[in-house]
Amino acid sequence: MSEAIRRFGAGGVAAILAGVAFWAIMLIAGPMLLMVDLAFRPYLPNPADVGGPLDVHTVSNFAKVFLDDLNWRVFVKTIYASITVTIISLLIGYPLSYILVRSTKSGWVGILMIGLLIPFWVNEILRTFAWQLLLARYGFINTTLTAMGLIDEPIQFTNTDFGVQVGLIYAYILFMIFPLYSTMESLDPNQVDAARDLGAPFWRIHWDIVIPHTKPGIASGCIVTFMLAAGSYVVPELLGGTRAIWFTKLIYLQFEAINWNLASAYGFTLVVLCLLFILLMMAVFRVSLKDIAR
Amino acid sequence: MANDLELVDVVKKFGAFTAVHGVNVAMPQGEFFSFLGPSGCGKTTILRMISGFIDPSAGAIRLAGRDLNGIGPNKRPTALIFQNLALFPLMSVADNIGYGLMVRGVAASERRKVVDRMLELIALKGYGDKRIDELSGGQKQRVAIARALAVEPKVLLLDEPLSALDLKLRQHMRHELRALQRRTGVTFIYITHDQGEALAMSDRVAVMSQGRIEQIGTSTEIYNNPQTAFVAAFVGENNALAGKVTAADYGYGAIETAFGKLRAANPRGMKPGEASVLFVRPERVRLAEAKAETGSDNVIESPVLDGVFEGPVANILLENLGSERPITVTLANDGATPRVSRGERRRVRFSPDDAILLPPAGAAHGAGGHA
Repeated sequence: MSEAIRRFGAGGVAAILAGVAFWAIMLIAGPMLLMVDLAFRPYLPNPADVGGPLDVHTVSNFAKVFLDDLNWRVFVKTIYASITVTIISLLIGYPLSYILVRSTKSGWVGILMIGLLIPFWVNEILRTFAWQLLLARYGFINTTLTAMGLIDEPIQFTNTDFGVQVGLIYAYILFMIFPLYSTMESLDPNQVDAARDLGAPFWRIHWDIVIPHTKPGIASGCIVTFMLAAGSYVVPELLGGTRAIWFTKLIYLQFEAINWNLASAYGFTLVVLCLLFILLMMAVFRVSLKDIAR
Repeated sequence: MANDLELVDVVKKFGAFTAVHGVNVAMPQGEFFSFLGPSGCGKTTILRMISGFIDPSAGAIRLAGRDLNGIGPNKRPTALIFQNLALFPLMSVADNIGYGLMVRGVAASERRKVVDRMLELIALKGYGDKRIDELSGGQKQRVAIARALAVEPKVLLLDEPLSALDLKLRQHMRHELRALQRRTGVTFIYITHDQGEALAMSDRVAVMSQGRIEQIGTSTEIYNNPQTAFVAAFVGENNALAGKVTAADYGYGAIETAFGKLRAANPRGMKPGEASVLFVRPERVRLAEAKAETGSDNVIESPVLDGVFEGPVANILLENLGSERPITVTLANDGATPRVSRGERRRVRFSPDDAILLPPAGAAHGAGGHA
């Protein structure tokens, strides 16, 4: 702090702090709190009623959210699909990160990294459209499989939960790989060699040495991937169509109906339930917040 | 004996670079054997070949007559102590020591017995539940040794494990390592660039340079009777006087140097006309009084460059004709150390029996190879 004051002067430090505070309070915390407040007020179609005697705090919006059986079904489906997306991303990301870390010395790591990154220079919507082309009824995958004689009828990929999950894994796998890579990179290679020298087979080295070391990276990668998958709108919209509905779609439908209050209640519900789910998982896998911040 | 380790014509190439050129050495069970050499001499490559992390390009490594080639490090009866120890920081001391037994499927109760015995061996009884980062440097060292010994290896490999410790602790650990080795009877193979460590601990030392073994012998043989100019110059301090052999007879030789003709032992049988280097240890050179009788000793006269007092000894540096490296005379501090002043010409003497004629470094690797 004193170092900062010496460099920028007291006024400069005050200006920086004020800027950060404005950004954090007015642009992040403020809108969120406004949404929470909206969620606890009734929808008043007549603007004149807003702020009037009818505009009171109530849980009626949440009652609507929780009492509708469809909401629960979509919510459970969203969570379930996001869990599969997270697990499959981890199953793909873990070996990939390990190969990346182990190839650091060979000089291949740069090329591999660029190979991973280049597709992500393209906008998420365009990438999802590309998957639509691949997965379509007469798209690349179906025509290839038909031409090879493996299938007679095209498989329905689009407008299914499966198609959405494929798109989500592709969209968010880097958010799994990067935390895994950075924690794995800090593992001393001698630890792996030492375990091997003491007689540990391949899988034991990973179970006893690499995975415990990588646990913080696994935890933060899983949390980010899960939250992004559960909160994704574009991918289910483009690949799920009208058949595979995500919870985000329900939120959007309320905003579209100009019922911001009910929409906020939907949004708030999703955030809180996802957070509770993550805390539950952290307790089950004995991960503390300190581990993740490490 | 049952568990002798043999390296037969072991070669290791990395692409076009040959790291190890045909190394031959046999170590009987229970020997404390050191590979001593500067960094890049191939000693770590040899260690990694014995432990199984890399395979030799040619030749064989045999334990008790069995070729180890193709057997992975996790299946070999060798254990390696890493330079940075590589203890598992997320496990307790006891779990570290018991790890090798756990992956071998040894039952927990049996494991605990071995761990307790190991903790007693390294004098850390009661430390089993401690975390690794709660230990001091010397304690970590001992835990790493216990972890390696717990799997009862036939050969324990040590990769400069003392280099991270401070001087006092390093000297203490030398004694402890040596005592542990005697108590367990396991073959220790020690890799180091520190000649003090190698000479102090080992039964035998192999001095290495550029992928070749220059000489194998006991500490005294290596120090007193170096076979090559590299060994003479690398192990301990040595004065080198280059010249040409003029005569050779009865195990002695005469060499014409910038200081004139000098006589020395000639164990390699160098012949007149050959380029040679005379080596003489600084502690074997004495000051000669101006008029004193020198008998058959070699005498050199040269200006004093500097005098360096080091406590137990004092070094006098004399100008060396034809070389950047001065001639050093080491005198024990016996209370009668003479004073010298810079620039003053002094006569020094040494016996031909204390000097040795060797071929210059690099000339040793002729077609004949090594003895």
